[in-house]
Amino acid sequence: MNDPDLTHQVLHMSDSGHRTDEFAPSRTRRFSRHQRVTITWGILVFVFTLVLSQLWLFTATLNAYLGGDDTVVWPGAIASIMCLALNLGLLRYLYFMEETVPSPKH
Amino acid sequence: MERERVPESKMPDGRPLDQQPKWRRDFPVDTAREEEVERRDFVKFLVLVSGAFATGQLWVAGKDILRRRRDPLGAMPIAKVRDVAVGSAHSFNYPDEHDTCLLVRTDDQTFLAYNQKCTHLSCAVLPRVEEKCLRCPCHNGSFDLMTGRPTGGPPRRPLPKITLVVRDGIIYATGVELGT
Repeated sequence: MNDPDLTHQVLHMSDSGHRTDEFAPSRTRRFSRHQRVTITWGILVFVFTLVLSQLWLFTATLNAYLGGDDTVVWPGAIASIMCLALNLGLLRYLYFMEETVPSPKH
Repeated sequence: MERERVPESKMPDGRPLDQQPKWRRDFPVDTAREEEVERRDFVKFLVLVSGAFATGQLWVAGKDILRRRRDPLGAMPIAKVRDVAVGSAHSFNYPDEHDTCLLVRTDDQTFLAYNQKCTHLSCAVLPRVEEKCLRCPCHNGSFDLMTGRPTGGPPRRPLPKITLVVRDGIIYATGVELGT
């Protein structure tokens, strides 16, 4: 273990909860802990903004629809589904970021 | 049997567990790890909310399809001309028995009809012909009698207007106009 910053190393835990350092580090994460925290915050803020946009879109669409204006219904639905797809993509990336890869050989 | 040792948590101030306040010793949570999990769970929850909004939008779109497919409303006799005096109102149900509407006669030739449900919170609006308005007593909303548009109070959408035809001394309701 040459790298002093071990915060991004995957800790090998036994079933009983003990850390087992033998043969470690065999796998690491793609980003350091600090980077992951920053990315997670960025994704969180982005997803939150998109959800707020969807809330506004939904209330505006419902208001227009109940008032008899149905021209905004389908564009609103498509925009909302696009926001959902984007959110799902970001969530997937969040899990992708946590995945481990084989550590480089020193 | 030896009790298994719980791995020691990393404290935010870096001091060992026995130097921490009692509340933290009772709940020795690795805060750094805990926060990371919380953020990810929060994102997951937000995505769930996002899915709920998208479902809501699709539900509105589905309702729109059903509305378009519905058969056009037929003409329905609602009153005789001579039964509705100038300045008075007559109640009727259109297009079905759950939709209460108001027919108002403002002068000899002018008949107006609106759905009686206030567009704010569905209270029944009351006609004030002399003031040329329809007033909702629940939250003091008011609508213009001639157009159905909101003129005061919380309502933001106009009342659905019932289209009328007068034929052989009988007033027929022929459709509903939703306006924004």
